Amino acid sequence: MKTKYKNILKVTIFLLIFCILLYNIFNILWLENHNIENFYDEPKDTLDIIYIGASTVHHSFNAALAYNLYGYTTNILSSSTQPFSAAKHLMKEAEKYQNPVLYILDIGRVAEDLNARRSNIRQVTDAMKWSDNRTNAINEMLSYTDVDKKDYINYKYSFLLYHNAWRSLKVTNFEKNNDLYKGYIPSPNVSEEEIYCDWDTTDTMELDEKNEANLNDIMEYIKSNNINVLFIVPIKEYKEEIKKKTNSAIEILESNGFNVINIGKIKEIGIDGSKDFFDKDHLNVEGGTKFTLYLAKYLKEHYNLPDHRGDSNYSSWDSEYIRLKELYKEMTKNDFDELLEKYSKIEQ
Amino acid sequence: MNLISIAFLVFCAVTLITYFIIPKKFQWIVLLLSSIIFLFYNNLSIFTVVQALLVLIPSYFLGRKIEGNSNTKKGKRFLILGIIIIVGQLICYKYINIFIESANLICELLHSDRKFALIENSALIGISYYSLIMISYLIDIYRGTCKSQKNIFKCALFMSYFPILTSGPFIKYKDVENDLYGEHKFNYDRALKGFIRILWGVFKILVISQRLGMYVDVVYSKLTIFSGIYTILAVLAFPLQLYTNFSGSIDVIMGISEILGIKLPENFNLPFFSKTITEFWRRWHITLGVWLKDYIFYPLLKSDDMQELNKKCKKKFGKKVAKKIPLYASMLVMWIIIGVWHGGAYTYIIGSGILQFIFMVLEDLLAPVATKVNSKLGIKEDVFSYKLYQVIRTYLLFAFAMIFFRAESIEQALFIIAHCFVWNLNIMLDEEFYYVMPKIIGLDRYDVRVLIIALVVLFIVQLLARKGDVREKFLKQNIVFRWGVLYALMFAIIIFGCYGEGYDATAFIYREF
Repeated sequence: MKTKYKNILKVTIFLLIFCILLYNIFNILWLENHNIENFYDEPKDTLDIIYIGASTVHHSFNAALAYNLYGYTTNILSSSTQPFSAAKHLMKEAEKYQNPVLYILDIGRVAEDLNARRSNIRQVTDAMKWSDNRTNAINEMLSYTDVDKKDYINYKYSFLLYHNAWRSLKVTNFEKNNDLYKGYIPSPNVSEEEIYCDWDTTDTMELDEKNEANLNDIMEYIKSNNINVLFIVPIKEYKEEIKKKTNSAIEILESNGFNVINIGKIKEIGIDGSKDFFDKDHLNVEGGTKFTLYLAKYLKEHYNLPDHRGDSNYSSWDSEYIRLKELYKEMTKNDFDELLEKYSKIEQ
Repeated sequence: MNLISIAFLVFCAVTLITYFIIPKKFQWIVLLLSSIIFLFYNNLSIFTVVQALLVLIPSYFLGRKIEGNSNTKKGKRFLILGIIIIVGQLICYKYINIFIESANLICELLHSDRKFALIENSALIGISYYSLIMISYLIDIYRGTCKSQKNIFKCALFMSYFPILTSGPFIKYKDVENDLYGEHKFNYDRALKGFIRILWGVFKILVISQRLGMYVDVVYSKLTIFSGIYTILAVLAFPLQLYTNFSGSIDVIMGISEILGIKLPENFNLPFFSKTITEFWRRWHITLGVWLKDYIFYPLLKSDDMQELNKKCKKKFGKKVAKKIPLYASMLVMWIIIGVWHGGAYTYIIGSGILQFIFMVLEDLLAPVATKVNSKLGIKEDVFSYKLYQVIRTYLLFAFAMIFFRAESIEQALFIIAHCFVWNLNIMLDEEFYYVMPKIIGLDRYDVRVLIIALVVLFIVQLLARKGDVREKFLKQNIVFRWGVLYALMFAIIIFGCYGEGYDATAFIYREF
């Protein structure tokens, strides 16, 4: 009997050490850090807005600046070329940990093919914590692709891919990623080509069947859960066909009583296609600042958002803003306050 | 359900837990149910179960009949009937395509446009193994070396014991009877040893075999691109790929059985340390060799026809030669059967059959000549260097035969052999070779390093295994060393294993046979 308990103890300790080692090894081998992962680090019920979407979100909205100006907190729940089919599942995920006043859904990809690149799906699902919602997200997002059902397992158990990351291991894998800046990724570069970003068409084109069904599904979820949502069409260079289809999506959303802002139509923001983009899809730090100044003010004026400034529980928002200003100085050799002052004046 | 899969892991865990928590007298029922589920799940067809029943039912009843008529004419008639039923089905399911291919070939030779379509997946997983197992069961009852099983469900368990259905080893009823139906208490030391063996098997498959396979597959699938050193390396790598894959699967199977308390016969005994092809086949797929010797080779050699042949040859060629002719004739039949069993394609018949036979006959005939030449030239045969030469020679001969085994057709095999003789060894001196090659073959420099380290580990373990049971020695070490090695092995599999996205860990070479 004594030997039996000794053996049970031995096996338990062995497995415990194994699990600890396994956890740490996978943390090291996890190559990418996304805004979605950082979302989990935010204290419970401290986020006022959750902003969901593709890279257009994290290159345009400076949440730390919005906090500094108005005191509300915005989490950027974005990832590169995020398929619109992810939006519902990310809202569900956010609901588990936060109680935001408002969700903002970037609908720049509402009319794009839902057969997304595998890596773009992975950036969402790999970063999500294990839950039924994650499994549903995987199943639904992959259902739009040609991935064989038997290969869904590779998405459910991410280590089936990431175990292989040892060959590209760097020193940075062993360090905690501190480049958060509350989700904002500023770029000082200016696109060599002028970006055609005006939204000058009112024509519509029917959405593809799958996209429309996906949009209806999201609207149904929002309505049935009584969630406050603002839809934003980001400013970038669109193909004519996508513009027309997006116009259809906007019509559908507005006819269902949702508020939609099409940034490309709002001239007062002052986005200049010749200097405010670093590529045809993304605003640079100048364009991002103009956009943030506009949207931050709009949100403050139209929604009942709290002001947390001065509250020590929100000190990370102050420190990230300071770090962001330092980053700007490092990147451009200019002072961020000067930039802010310049565009604030234009806005006034 | 592949041996290396989450499904199999869960399946085994459920089986093991159920096996040890239920009353011991029902343990064999758990194994039977698991085997039925395994058979069904693997092929996802009720036809699998029907196919198995068509072997089980006649084997069971004929076994019962034979028991009272051991070594009698009546018993022989039942035995022959049983063998005809089992072999007939095996041929029907598994080798039907060879007949179709042969018919098509004849039609082609006769300039006929008629072409018969091949039948896909007619043979389901397990049939090659349980058919031979049941033939041995009937023969052993006839010979009186074992008694028939009275309970048809227990007989079904013997036939379909799930761990052995994909890769063997071949079991004999009298060897496993007690363990299979006996009562087993959970034994920590036994389970630990089984677990270590499973880990070692998985390591061989996922870290070595799959990695080697990536290279071999690329070369064999793009034959017009590769030649010279690339082809030679693929030819040399394939036996190692096959060995680590097959013996790794056997390790997993043996490990599971060891935890269950069921002792199975070993299937490998360090084959690459063999000094001759004859010795190699005593160490490689041992249970198949034993089966064929017991049930084909010796009965054939002792048969009246062979004795008659011996007598005739004695008169014509003398006693010495006459002794060899029936021996070689029996060997030829046995080796052709080995080739046929491996799948029946001509490439298998040549690669794992006829060529092996030729090598053995040549060894037998040339051994005295070589000894004479060596003694005249003063070459010592009992020194390390000579033994090393013999080991390398055996490996090369086996690798050569395996070109046919791996190739999709005889033409392809000949093409590969011809391309081995293209001189491009000088590219290895070019630094660019080491940058370009990884991109072409799909193995980068990190993979090559992992492969080399893993092969060194395999070699060291094999060297240690020559001096006794490695696991016994390992378990006598201090806990820090033991746990350190186990963690290293587990994490080597998890991190460096070729599985998941981009890999096909399901490709078990011996599963096809």
